[in-house]
Amino acid sequence: MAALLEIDRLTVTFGGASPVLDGVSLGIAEGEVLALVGESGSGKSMTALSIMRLLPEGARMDAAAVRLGETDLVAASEGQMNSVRGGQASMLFQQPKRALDPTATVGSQIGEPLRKHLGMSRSAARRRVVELLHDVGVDEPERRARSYPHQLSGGLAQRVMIAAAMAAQPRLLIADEPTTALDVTVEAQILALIAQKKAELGMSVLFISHDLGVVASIADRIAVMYAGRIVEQGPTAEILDAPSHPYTQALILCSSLRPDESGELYVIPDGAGLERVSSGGCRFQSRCHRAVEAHVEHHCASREPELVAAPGGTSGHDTRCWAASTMRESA
Amino acid sequence: MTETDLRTLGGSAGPGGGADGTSDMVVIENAVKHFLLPRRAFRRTRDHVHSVDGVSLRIGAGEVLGLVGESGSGKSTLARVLLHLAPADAGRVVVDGMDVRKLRGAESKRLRRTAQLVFQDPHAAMDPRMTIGESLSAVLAQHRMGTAEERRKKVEDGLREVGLDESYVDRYPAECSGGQLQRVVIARALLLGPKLLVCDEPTSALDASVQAKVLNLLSRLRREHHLTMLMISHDLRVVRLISDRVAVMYLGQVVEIADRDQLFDAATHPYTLALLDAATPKRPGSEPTVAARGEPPSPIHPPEGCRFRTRCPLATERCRTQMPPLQAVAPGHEVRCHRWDEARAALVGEGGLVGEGES
Repeated sequence: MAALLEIDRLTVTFGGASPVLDGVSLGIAEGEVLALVGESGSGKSMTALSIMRLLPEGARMDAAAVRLGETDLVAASEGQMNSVRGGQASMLFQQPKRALDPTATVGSQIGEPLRKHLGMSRSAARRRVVELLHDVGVDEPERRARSYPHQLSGGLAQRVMIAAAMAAQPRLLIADEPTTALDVTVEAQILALIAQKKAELGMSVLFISHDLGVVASIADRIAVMYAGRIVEQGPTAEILDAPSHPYTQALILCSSLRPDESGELYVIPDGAGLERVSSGGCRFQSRCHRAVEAHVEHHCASREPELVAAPGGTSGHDTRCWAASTMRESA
Repeated sequence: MTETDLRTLGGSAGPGGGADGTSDMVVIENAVKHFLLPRRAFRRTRDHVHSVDGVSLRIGAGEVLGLVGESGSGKSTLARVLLHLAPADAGRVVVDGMDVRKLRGAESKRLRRTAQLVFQDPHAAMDPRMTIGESLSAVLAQHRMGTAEERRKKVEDGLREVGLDESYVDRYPAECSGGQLQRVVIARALLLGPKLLVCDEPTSALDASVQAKVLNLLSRLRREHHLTMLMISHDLRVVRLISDRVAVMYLGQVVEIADRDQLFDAATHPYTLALLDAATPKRPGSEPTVAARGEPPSPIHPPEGCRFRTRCPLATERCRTQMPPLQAVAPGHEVRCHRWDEARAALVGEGGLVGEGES
């Protein structure tokens, strides 16, 4: 499969601090859904914003390559980026109401990419807006097109965002925690809608979430981030059923909320936190109990492991752990 | 330390036992809380938000009641009604024998000592300009407990109990992570030795690993302090972990209430079934399922008849015209649905729901 999006060794730094993203490489094939999973502060959103070149002021972005289709997103001018954003690539946010302009009607906001990227006339855009709203399951689309964002519920606002994102038929949709702020019954509807739109348009999706449960039904592949690094990636079922990296294993364990025999929930041991300061060793080392068991702690402390093929995994399942190979047997 | 110390400092916490001579810590009968909306131009009448609309609940001493529902269901308002932070418009609310709607002056201070609240966002719950030590001591000073020296000692003990060392006394909230600060908030809630702890989405803002830590802490504190708890969450898994009984709210009403296992294994309200389905872990490659249509209607104009009917796959003409009563369908299991006896068979697919196939 040809990769639609390719990121090669992306690093983002603020001032002199240690990088928030450190050599992140990932690819998304045409029509593929890649979930980027990790806790707050791991760098998921920074990765998304880097692709769109929307990083906050003061951020410095370095990469060997960031490519979307034929477009080099590192070298692209601001003008070219403007035609990428909302054109080839669209974005959904956690707070749809904050992402919408409160002073403009829903219709004009969905219509904007139609006129800008597809060169439609005002009246053609207006007709298309109603179709798009109808397509994302909005009742009374004509009336809703004239609404303002504050008149919408959270779920409806996210539907409007999806309609706007789909307007120019993007090749890549970046969804940054699109259902986190929604009620669970509405979350299910929005996930189904994203899956449906993906199938209809054949687009690729970068789906960012802190919730492994949410991504299970929608992602083809999962990449797990920790402290600015991808620590494991692979096919969804394999990551969830046979995780190789101790952080992924820990995350799955504590997300399951299943108590052990003593009634306690599994907790990831405290360590130095999301440590980006590279002491040269593995970033998860201070919270990891596998290192000692596998007798590789000298490696863990001195050298950061590379992201390499997970032992026993299928092709495309990579892990960044010294102990991974020995862990498989003991797990 | 702890329990005895807390009790002694907590002073005479008033009559033990519960309301009505029974062992109920909380009795809510037909509680109503409507919020009046601002007057709108050219309208003679003002609209109300029907936040809590005739809710009756009991929580036994030492029991944990889980309260589940989506945004706008009224679960947080019910918590505020219970603590007299948003006085009920009608009905009876009794906490540890105190009729909270009739409390005045010194009596309301006794309610504060008896019942405490833990909020969702710990950063919003702490004064950013006060150190944690100052914030926590202030609680004790408010209730005139101990000397400054004794208060500091008690604050340190309280922090230690939630797993934070004394260095936190001099920290500001901004210097703490969300998980650490939530533990501070819990320590503060326990300072006065309450009998009832109301937790309003205590882990919703936290990452998975931190959430597990806070839930473990709450379970332990519950055991050690024999706390009665109202555990509010939109996350059924959280409620399942910690509750003895579970109540489900929808648009200001309780639509189902049952013992925990009964609710998770034999729920019969279509809304509960939709929530359970949404919380079921999905298999990779499975289609996302959609168990409730559309979105919750506005609590300003709740639907006539059954309030869930606009989203319910089983709704009939009768549901449109007649509000179903909350009726007992099994011992301790009450449901507000005309079609409760068919709902489970009609809505539970072969995939099953949360809890089935597990322990």
